[in-house]
Amino acid sequence: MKSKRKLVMVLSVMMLLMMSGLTYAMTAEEIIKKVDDFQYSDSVQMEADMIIVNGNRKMTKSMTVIGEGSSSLVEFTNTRDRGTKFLKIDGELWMFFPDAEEVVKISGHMLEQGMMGSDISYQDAMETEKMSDLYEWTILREEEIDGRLCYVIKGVVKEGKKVSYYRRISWIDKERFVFLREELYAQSGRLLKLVEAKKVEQIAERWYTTHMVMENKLKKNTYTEFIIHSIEFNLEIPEGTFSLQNLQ
Amino acid sequence: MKFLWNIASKNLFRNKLRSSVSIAAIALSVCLVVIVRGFILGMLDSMVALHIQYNSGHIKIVDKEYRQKERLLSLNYPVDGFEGEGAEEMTSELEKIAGINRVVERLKFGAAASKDDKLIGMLGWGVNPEDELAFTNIEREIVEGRMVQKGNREIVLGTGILDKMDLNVGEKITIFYTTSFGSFKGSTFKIVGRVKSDLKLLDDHVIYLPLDQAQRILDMPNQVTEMLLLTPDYNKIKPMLSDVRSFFAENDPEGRYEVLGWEETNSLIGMFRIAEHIYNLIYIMLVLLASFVVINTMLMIVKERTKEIGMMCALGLKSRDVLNMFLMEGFSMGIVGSFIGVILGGIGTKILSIVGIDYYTDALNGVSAEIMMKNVFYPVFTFENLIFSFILGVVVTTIACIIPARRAARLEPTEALRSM
Repeated sequence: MKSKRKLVMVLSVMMLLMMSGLTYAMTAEEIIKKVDDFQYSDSVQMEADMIIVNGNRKMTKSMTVIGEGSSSLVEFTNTRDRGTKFLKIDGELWMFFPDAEEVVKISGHMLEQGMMGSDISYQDAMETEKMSDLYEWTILREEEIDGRLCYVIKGVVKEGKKVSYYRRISWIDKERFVFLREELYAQSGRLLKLVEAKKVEQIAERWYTTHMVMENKLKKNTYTEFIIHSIEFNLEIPEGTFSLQNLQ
Repeated sequence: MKFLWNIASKNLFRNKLRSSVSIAAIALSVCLVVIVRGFILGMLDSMVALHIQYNSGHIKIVDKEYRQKERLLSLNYPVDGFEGEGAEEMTSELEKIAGINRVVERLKFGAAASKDDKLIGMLGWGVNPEDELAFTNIEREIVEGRMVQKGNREIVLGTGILDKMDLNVGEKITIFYTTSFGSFKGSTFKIVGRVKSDLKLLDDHVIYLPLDQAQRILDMPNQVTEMLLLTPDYNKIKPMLSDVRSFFAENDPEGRYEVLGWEETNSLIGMFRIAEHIYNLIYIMLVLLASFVVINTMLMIVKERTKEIGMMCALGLKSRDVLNMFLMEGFSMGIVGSFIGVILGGIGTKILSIVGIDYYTDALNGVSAEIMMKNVFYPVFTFENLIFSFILGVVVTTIACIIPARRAARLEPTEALRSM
């Protein structure tokens, strides 16, 4: 509780500084650390919708996501997928299907597939390490997106780290420290995915993207929207939530 | 004329060794033609039969878009009636067309199962078990257990998949798939049968499950991805094909579905058909080669009998008669040789058609599963093949004999006599 209060104070001071125009030049490292601080929390629970648009087909999948540390549990709640659960634990992805009698581990090529037919791959959903740990960041320029001034920073994967995207260019809101736009590239330099934040909300003391759109640049006429309806940070998560027993 | 025959047949026996060598050459080549032709026909028959059974039926009905993306096994382009009334209703409409004996419905989808850290890709086939048992030879290929039954959560797997998954009949398997609504799901089925067919497609890729189960798990009630129509004879589908096409033109004016004859869905069979013509040329060459022995022998005979021919000509035999006489000799050798060849070849193909030719098993390892070829071939034994080879042998030998016969016929009596 104490630390929380401290954080609020730090934030308010920071906001004050910004508003008073006393901004000082930040390094890319500092920027991404700040973003990380907003993005990551000890635990999180959210209700979200994933809208998958493929040509003129549109599918909506609803889910409850619970996360703590590097573990997470996704449970689908829309009619067609009700009961399907994904569990990420110890860097492995397990799935439970109501029609199957066993829990199944997803590995290899499957991880690169789009999650439930979306443009977000299982691998994307699996990555939980902090951006500041995975990539080496440099500031490229400052640019305005939808009337908001952004830092444009480039991240290149650190040696020895395994990631889906070799390089990423991120537009970070100068005031709120959230991604407004991100371009994800392969090692060959090919643009693989484009992520855009459509709505950023203040939840408790942090700014969080609650509506984003991801486009898979390798496929035509498809995109996936991810909308968070409710989100809670740092809550108590019952023991045994992230276990294979709980999956069944 | 009769006396020419007499002389010709007597001449045949004058040098028995020489005649039998010529006859043996013809017999050998005709025997080879019978066997090779039986082999090729067998291969083509088996390919056509497998293609029809496991791919095209006699007439295949698919969605146009589906056909363009057939490899993707998209579930977004099903066959579900003319106005969305459903596959079953469409099937009963199609069965009313005269000459359509049966409509086989299949729902094909991509599936996978995981073993340790490996993912094994499979080709799911939702089928009506009775139709499959009646139409394909799957019953013979199920070496353990039985075919799936309607309404049951059962699955039949190829032996290659079972080995890779380290599973046996009686155990359970969980397969994953993507439904028509893009949901990734998994289901558990009981394994009730093992297929071992020597056919890559069936052994390593296809999994059979009851159509109703496939429709349930894929969220596709009363929908299939293809319909195969069966007629009494696949060689005579033309009239039926146009009947079915006009039926579709009437009921499906937008042209959503495509009606395909079995020959249109396999380019390899078309190529084989062309190859058959080339093979026919090769058979002729083969017999012609043997005829060189005959020509050579006959030329020697002409040389040897020059005096005799001169004598006969002097006695009033016309050169046309001389020509005929030699042709008759060749013709007789052709008949005897071809007959022996046909008998030997017939016995050979008959035996091979029972035992089969198991050629180098690894040869087909690199071949794609789409090519329906088995490791063991069964040449076909048909009387048509024997008659074809016999006539070929006789005709080619006789024609080849024109060369020495003309030579004999052109001899001047005086010249010929002088060689005495």
